[in-house]
Amino acid sequence: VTRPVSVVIPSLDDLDLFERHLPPLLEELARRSAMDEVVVVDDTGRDVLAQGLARWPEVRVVARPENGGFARAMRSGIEAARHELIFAMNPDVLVRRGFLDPLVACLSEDEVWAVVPRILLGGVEERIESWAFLREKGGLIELDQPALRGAADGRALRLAPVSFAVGGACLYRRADFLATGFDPLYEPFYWEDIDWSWVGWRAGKRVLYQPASVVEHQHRGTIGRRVPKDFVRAMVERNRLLFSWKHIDTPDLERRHLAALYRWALDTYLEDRREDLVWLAFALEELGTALVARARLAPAARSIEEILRRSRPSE
Amino acid sequence: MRLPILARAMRICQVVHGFPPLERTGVENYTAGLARALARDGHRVEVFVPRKDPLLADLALRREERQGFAINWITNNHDPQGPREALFVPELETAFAAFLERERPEIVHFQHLIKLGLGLVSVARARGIPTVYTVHDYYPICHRYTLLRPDLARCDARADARACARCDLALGYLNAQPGLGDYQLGVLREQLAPAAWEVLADILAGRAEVHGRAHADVLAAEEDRAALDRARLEAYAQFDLLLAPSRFLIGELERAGFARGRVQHAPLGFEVEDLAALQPVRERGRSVRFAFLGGIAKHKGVHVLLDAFALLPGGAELVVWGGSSDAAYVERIRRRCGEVGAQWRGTYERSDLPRILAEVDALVVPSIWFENFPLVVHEGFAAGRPILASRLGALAEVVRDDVDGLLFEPGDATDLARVLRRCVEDSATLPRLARGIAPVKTMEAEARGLALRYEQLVGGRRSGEESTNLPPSLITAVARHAALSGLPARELFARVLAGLDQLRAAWSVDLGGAGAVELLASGLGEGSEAQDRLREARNEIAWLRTKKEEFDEGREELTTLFEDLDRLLNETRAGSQRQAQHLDAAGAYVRQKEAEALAAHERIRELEAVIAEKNRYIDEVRGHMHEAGRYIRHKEGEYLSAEQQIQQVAAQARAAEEELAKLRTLVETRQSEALQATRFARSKEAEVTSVTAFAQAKEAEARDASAYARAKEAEALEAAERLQSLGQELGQERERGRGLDARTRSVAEVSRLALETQARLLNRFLRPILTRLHALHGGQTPLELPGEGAGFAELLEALRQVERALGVLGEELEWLRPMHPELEARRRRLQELHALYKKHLLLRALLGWTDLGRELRSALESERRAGS
Repeated sequence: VTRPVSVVIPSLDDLDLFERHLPPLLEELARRSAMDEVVVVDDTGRDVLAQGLARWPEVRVVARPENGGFARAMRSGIEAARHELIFAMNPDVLVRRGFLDPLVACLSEDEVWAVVPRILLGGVEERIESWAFLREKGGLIELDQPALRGAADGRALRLAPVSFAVGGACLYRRADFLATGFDPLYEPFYWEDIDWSWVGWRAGKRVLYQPASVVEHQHRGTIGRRVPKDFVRAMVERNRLLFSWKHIDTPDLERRHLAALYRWALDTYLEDRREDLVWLAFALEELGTALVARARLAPAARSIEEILRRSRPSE
Repeated sequence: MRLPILARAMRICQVVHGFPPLERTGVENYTAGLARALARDGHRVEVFVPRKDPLLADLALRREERQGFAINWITNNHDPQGPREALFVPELETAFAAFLERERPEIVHFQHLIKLGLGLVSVARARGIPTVYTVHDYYPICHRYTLLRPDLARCDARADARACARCDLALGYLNAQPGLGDYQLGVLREQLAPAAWEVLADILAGRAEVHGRAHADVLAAEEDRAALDRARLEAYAQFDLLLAPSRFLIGELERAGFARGRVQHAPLGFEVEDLAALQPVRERGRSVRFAFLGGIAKHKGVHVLLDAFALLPGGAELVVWGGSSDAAYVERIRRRCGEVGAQWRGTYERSDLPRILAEVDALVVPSIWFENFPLVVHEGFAAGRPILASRLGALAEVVRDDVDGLLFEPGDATDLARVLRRCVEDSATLPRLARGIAPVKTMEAEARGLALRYEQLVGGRRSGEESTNLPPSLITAVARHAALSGLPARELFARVLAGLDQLRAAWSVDLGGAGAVELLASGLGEGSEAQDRLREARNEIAWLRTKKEEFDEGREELTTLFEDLDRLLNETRAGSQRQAQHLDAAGAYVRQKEAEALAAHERIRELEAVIAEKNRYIDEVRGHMHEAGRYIRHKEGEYLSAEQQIQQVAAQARAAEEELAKLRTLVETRQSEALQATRFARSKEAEVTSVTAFAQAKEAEARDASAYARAKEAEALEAAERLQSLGQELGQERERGRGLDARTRSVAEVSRLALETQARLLNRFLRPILTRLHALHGGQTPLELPGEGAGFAELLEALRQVERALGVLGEELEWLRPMHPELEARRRRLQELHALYKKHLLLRALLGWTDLGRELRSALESERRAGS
């Protein structure tokens, strides 16, 4: 439990968030007395955070020479980290006391690829963001967060597998990340964490949800406040499709998926839902890259359908 | 002509109220040519245009690709039921918004808003799309877009809601007139009955109330028109760019309230390259051939041209090409052509133009409205044909008189005939004018110039939208998303299908070679949202059909019912007609009797009025008499009162006379008194003078006597003191005498002798003093003095009496002293009066023989005598 952890926080100029969220984190790390460290990655490309964070000398700032986005900033931070265990964290996450030890405990098992705490959206107990799963519906892969649609039950308070570890707050091994890393296919953001978790699942590992560890996601739209909302939504939808095209690996699902895409395109055109057409076209512009990423995938220990099944909460 | 540089390829939307082949007048043809030219330069052009199509549902959109651009026909079968409905068409706004969402134009260029509504501008602006409007006519300031009134007179009012409301009312009146057909912009005088023409004129002159229009209706029409005009101006204020092809039009817009400089001057270009190769106009042996080309509409003045042509002696031909929906006018022109020897050719296609113009020497544009930038003028110029045009509106700006054409007074057939005659009689005129024609701006130049304007607007808008706060890692993705978002839905769909085909190809092994159609069918088989909606719509349609059938059945029943009613009505009407004839006769008799009864009633009413008048007169006389009685009684009272007053006055007069007599007596008395007083005064004055002198003498005497008395008193006192001292010495001597014998008696004797001596001395000095004092005192009683030889005590008593007399005398003197100034003043007045009397003869005459006169005269004589 006392294994040291490197907390890596990629950031733009989010000093206001650090003002609120760093003190409880540092307090928790001090309480652990495990020689933990905090690495903040300055992804502004302008080296603006070091001065603002100087009042916390225990925080190490790694300034990137240029803005690279979440995935690249995270890699920079992990490369600079000194410990094997990495707690990846966004600046808008507020940790609660004792959040780290249950996660570290979970990761003691080799077959656990990553572990995610109970992330409470806005600090609300019922709104568990990290109790999250992928599912296939009508040939399309969907993200399902039951607690966010009011469907949380007792299972949400049990240690259990989940489809992925939310990249904004999760614990994994430095070596695993550096060996694989986030796929640039998803740049500039979204779904890279799902994809990375999926790599673990495909390799026969598991991703766990640890409700005993609690953090709050004080959602301030770290990206959303810098770009238009319709672009954020388009990125989510584009990367969902790219994920599908990279990971759907059974002929049946391929057939159903393509049929669904043709139908979707026709439906949206006939119904004047041009935004859906934009998402499709946006994704299809990256189809070549997705197919390259697909070709580079290591042989899977589990098919997508098996992973979908295994990563769902048991009845 | 040098063409402007090419702008980058853009997605351009042209909005216009009609389009060939359905409508072929100037703006529609211009827009079609512009769309073609823009497409040739690589722009993607979508034309949005309304049309009527009873076979399609309202707001159905049909896209038709043609010559590199696309026409989007929006069906609107609804005819506006008034000016407001014509200006605001919310259904079209919704359809236009959906169209913009699908097609994503970067710019919208409105060529007209008629039939479309003002709201489309806001729809485009709400989506952040820059907007341009080319003003082709007066629609921004005139709801009839021509500045022509319904009587075809040119309107001089600008921004005058009252004039526009009259126009509305006049149109309403015309619409109610039977047999006018599609009269279009207005009617000629001969189209209306004289009475109807007068009504029309009255309405336009603001006298609608005369013809039964309620004043409130007129006010409501004015308010409505004012509100609509405001809405129109507000809509036009929203455009990013306003263009107008003529300066005349710009001037009219500014007159009506557009800000100076708001509308930019931009002459139009035309597709006229095919006309440039025609043979030039030359001097010919045959007669000159004039032509009219265009809409056969009244405001185009074709009738004026035919009237002018009728005035020509010969040597000329006239060809009339064109048509319109104003069938009555077209027929009239066709017939008139035959009457005056002109050739009626009817409608023509644009492709016929080179052939038509090749046979023509000059075009005539006899418009009676303010033409703006008519296409036919530029077609004529492009073909090298001079233009003979009305000196009106922008025609006078486009056609240069005696340079490339000739101008004549609008609506004046005689003046037009003069111009035609000049061309006929001087065969060099038309070739000379043809040589003066300048090159016509081509549509290619027009399109490139406009594209540069578009690019400027789009660039300006884009630079305003670009975010400067974007992290570099996001720039590429955000730009790609924005680019895709700007694509038309149709193009996005095509891209998506192509991309999916690529994915299908990549997975072909696993898919077993399944094609897109098969996959689509498979997908749709699992369920489709569009299909769901189609089913919903179908169910709804089925329900509506059922309802329609029920409605149709009901309508059939109603039709049958109405037919029955109609038949019954007809039968009733026939019976009614027969009865009506009887009734007419009976009615005439009744009416005659009614008229007689009315006349009798009228006579009775007149008599009643006379009686009433007489009664009123009697009442008035009675009133007057009553008033007179009251007046007489009042006067009698006044008379009695006056008599009493006279008696009183007489008594008063008598009393006054008596009083006067008394007064006279009194005056005389007073005069006498005054005389006596004068005399008395004078005597008193003399007395006073003597008294004063006496008093002064007495005063001096009294002072002397007093001094003497005081001296004597002092002496007497001293003597008394000595006497007392002597008495004391005598006593002492007596004492010593007693002691002494002989000497004693002698001493006593001596003392007695001394006393006696003293008494004699006193008597001797005191007695004259007392006597004098007594005289001064004016005492009436005799002075009683002590006898001679009286004793010393009696003398002392006499002295005390003298002292008292002196006191009384002093008091009298003190009393007389204040009277002295008054007596002095009276004396001076008398002297003045006396002096006046002496001096003035008139005064002497006036006083005459009055007592005063006599007195003064006497005094004067006395004085004179004294003087002499």
